[in-house]
Amino acid sequence: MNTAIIILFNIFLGIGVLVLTTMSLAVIYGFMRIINLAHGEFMMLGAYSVWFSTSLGVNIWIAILIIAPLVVAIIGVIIERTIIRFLYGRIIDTMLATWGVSLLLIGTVTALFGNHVRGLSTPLGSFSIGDYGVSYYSLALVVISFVALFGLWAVFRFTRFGLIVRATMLRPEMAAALGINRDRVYVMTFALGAGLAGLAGGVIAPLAGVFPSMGMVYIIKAFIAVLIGGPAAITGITIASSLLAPVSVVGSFLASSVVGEIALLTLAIVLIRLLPMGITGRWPRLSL
Amino acid sequence: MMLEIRNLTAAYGKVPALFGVDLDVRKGAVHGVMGHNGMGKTTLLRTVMGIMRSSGGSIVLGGMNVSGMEAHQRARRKLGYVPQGREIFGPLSVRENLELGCLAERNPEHRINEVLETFPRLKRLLDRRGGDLSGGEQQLLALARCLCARPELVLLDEPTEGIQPSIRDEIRDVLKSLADAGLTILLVEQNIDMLSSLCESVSLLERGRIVKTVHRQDRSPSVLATELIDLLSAL
Repeated sequence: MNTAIIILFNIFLGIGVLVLTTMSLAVIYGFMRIINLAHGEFMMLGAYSVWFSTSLGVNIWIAILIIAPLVVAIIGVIIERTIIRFLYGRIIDTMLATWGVSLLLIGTVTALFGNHVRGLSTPLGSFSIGDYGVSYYSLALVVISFVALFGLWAVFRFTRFGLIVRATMLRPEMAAALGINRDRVYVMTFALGAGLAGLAGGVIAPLAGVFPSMGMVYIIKAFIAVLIGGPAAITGITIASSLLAPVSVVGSFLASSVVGEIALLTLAIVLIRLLPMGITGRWPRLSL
Repeated sequence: MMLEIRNLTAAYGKVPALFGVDLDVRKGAVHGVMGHNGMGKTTLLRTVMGIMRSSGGSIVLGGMNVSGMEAHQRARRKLGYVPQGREIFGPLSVRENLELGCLAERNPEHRINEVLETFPRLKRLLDRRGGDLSGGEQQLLALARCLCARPELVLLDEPTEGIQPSIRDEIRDVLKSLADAGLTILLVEQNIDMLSSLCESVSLLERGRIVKTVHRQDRSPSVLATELIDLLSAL
């Protein structure tokens, strides 16, 4: 019984981590059609923001929930204004540019802080389920990820900003003819996506440790989840994460984490083969 | 004058599309632009709207030179645009499409209800996806969306193209009532009956140039239509 509860909990944790690390891509790739290869490094910057600010005495929750997203959103604004805005509609060029940004960020952080794993103490303590110890922070991570996902959906579904973003991404010229400043929408959307990556990095930092190349661990799975999710980005990542994470967790539990990864990638290949337009591509009426 | 265009030029890359267009639209008038396909009619409207950059000349809107302005800045100066093909936001609902026209409104719901009085057909479609509407309904929606922003000059690109006759008549009636209410309209249209029944003056665009402008004066719509057909045939 306890084992079943632990597996269930780990499935939720896996879904939470995948959702959290994918939301930024859902915005930047799903809405803006930018393949941001610096996504993992945006997460890494969020993690470093948490490590650095907590080392200066800032409360860890403020560092995770406010400083990390804010710092990375500001960096996102700078990158969008100086690089990305010249490359809209040029997918290969944006891939190359963001790959360059990724290398630059890894190199800069390595030069500044060294190539070490920086540990952060996990707040909140832990509890036991039978023989298994579970940290309250893992529980918090699941809650944060679902709240963030719901918040993101609500922003796009119910707010004026969300409506403007969706319209601009659908028909930028028509949006401009209705008085919408496209440049401003692009920069704000990119900043939102970058901020979400910062939040993901910040939340994951106490569990995974902080090091310059940490983003690479997450970027492949995040891209897979977005691609499998399909055109309705937010619904897509929710469904894709809910399919991929359980397979990975159960595979890890039954055999090893390597088997879990293999199971996840096998399922991803099957899904992409069966649904080349993604899961939500079958429901063109879904817009979010 | 509501719109004064002087020596306007525009190009697609190195291929010129407009060669020094001069055009005046009086405040409160409906001015038509006709011409064969590929003569620059849509390019003219896109350039006036600011979606396409002009390469020379000037566009003065309500006394202000807007040549260097972006499209959104021109829209905020009460320039409205209903493009060819409607450009409805397909995945968004009809209500959301209309809300996008009301971005400058303090009470968008009130403005939408006001505009819907002119478009009763749209009232029962508010929760439908824009992309699910028929072509005619989409055209009405595009027009309604534009009017939500309270434009003083509307650029209208072939509003009856590919539209079923019953809605075409509805669109003409709406445009007539808007014109009677004093809205200034620059109408690109191939339908001679539409032009002759609505327009105070009609310019003929040929190879990126205005080659002739006909003023209604005291002509009846049928006389004006005959004259416009003769003009087109002579090309």
